[in-house]
Amino acid sequence: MNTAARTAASPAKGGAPDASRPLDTGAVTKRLQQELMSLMASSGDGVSAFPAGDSLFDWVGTINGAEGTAYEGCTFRLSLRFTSEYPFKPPAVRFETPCFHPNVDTYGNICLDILKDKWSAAYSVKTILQSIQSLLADPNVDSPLNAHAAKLWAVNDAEYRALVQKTYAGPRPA
Amino acid sequence: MLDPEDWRCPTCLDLAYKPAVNSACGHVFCFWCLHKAMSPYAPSACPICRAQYTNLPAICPKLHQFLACQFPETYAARRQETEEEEEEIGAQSPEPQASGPLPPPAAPGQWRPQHFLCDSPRCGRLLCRPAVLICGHAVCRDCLPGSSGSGASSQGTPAAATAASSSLASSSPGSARGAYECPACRLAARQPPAVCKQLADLLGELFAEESRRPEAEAQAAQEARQAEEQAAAAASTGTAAAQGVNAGAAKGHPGLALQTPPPSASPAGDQPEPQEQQPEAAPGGSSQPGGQPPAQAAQQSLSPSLTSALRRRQAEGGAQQAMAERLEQSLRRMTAGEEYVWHGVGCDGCGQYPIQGRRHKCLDCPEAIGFDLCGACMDRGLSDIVGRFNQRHTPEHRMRSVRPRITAMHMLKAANPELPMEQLMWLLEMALAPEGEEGEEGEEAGQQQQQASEEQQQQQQDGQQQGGQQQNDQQAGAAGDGGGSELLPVLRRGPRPAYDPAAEEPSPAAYASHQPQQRTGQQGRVQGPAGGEAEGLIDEPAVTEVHVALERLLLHSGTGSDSGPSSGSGSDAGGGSS
Repeated sequence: MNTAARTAASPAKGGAPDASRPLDTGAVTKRLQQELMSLMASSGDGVSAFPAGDSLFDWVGTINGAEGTAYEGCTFRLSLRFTSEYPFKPPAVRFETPCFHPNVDTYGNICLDILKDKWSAAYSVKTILQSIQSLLADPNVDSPLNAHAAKLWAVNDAEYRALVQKTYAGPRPA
Repeated sequence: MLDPEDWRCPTCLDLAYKPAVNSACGHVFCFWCLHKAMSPYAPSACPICRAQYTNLPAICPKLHQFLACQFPETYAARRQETEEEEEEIGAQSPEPQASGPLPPPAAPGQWRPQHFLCDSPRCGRLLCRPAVLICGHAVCRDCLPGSSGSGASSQGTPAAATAASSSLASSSPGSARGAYECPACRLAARQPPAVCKQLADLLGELFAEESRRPEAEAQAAQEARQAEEQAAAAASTGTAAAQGVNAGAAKGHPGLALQTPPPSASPAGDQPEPQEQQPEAAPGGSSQPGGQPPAQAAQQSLSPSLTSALRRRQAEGGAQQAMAERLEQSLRRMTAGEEYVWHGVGCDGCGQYPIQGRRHKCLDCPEAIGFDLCGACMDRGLSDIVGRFNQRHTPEHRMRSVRPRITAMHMLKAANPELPMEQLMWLLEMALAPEGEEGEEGEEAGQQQQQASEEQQQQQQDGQQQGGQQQNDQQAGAAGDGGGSELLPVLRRGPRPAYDPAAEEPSPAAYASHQPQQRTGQQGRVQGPAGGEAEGLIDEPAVTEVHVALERLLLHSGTGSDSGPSSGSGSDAGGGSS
């Protein structure tokens, strides 16, 4: 079999599908609905998620900082944008709430391998949010997006905590 | 295991339809889900356990029958859904053959051991520690020639025992491959099949009585075998096993495949011994129409313009020279011999995906998905099989070997041979992402960065104006609408497996349209995408531009990894590329 040849000749593709609208929306929608149902059934765990608007392809997730960490008491909002290739491609996830963390940049981008090349189709919204939750508690300082946070993390816990709270409370630093 | 919850496909979270078992680890998925989870560029990873697999999925008829009869309503609904989807994408999944001597039970739950017999003609008993092979056949793990030792002989099957001892005795890497041959259809896997735990649990629940005894036997046999294997491993330096699946597939012993009789041969009467006796058989001796000597098919020199571009870079000295030399070296290695990877092309015989080494394509199959065979399957005469996607291929069809060509993805891989393909894809997405994303990376001095992204945007707009009908440009437009945070859909579509009609390799047009002209030193050469580019081939006219664009990309990544934070793919990509 040949993907490219089939693609070129496939009549199904001839209609030049709208790029912004997923191709096999049915399957993706179904899977997202399944996830939504299981998320609603099992609330708790400090993470939650819900579609942001009418579209099932944009979700808003929340993560509670784990107890005993610098992020305790913080509730972070994240946006998750799914593509028509979900779950075979990861959603684009970013922090909407400012977050001071070695692996989160000032724009909210997250450096997490399972959201990139280590993605697997068996991951779900819930496992993504749980992974980010544990990333908060256990940053990977070897590949920082926020070098300042990475430096502080190891050496100055008090200042780190202060900056976490300051970033969380106020507008993003200039 | 009689609860439908136990048979949910882990990727679509629905009842598995046309269940296919990843033979590398034994996890069960829908046929299409397992296929869609595959990478067209490199060996794929199981969504559950990341076990590497390189074979297109094959439906397990026994599980198919079980699910269809156990959960008739849900399964029928799934069938309808899937058929609608197949209609939409213009591809078909095969219809599994009836399995076993008994017709399916009249009502759910009325299962008998006869529904779950080992497919090996030497065994034919209730499956014990079942492994589902790359052809979909389910056999006892101990019925596989390579794995049996004392286990098979205790069952009183001398033929299996001989096969086992002969394959154990020889230590060449080629014979290790033969060890994972399906006893029913003789299709040989490149890696050891794993026991399918889900099927084993089902059998344990359905037939607790019947399965207890052979399991105890198997347990004892396994312990004995483990001791034996340890001794064997200590004796041999473990060449084949240590090098892993990839290397085994890449090296490819075309001679070996010749000795295996086609599946039509009676499996009961065959002798495994002769397989070991003629490892020197000429690989070019294919009797298939259109079969070409592999040496001729696989060897190809780099195109003249590519060579001249490389020479020019080499003449410039410094980093450029080093990169060009490395590129050339890797490219030459990739195009000569059996290392070439056919991105997005799978073998309809053994299911190797992507095909590595020689590739033979059917000229007569009408299906859009096409019919291709890898070198080994072509040699062993599998050209009369039904395709993995239900193609109606016949032995009369003409097969033609296809010449390897270097695409942009090959270039990228050649420049970063040590990086896995997924990371390269992310690297590409990052480097070609619209301005907003790139600005954040801070990989280079801000000014240069900004300049580059401005140029990129300009290029992008130019592209939109130039050709509304060009797909890449449409995609670029869509990206613009979606806002700066969206990664380029052009590239995201890249690694998509065959299921997606839109899946193509990123064409050079995609690179050309994002390439800053000023740095190339050949401004006059902006030209519309030529015909050949639609297939992602780097050919004469486009080659210099693509080359330069890629180089810029690679230089980016090179410097980026040294100088502090790199976004996105993180530590692995950054660390590896320096």
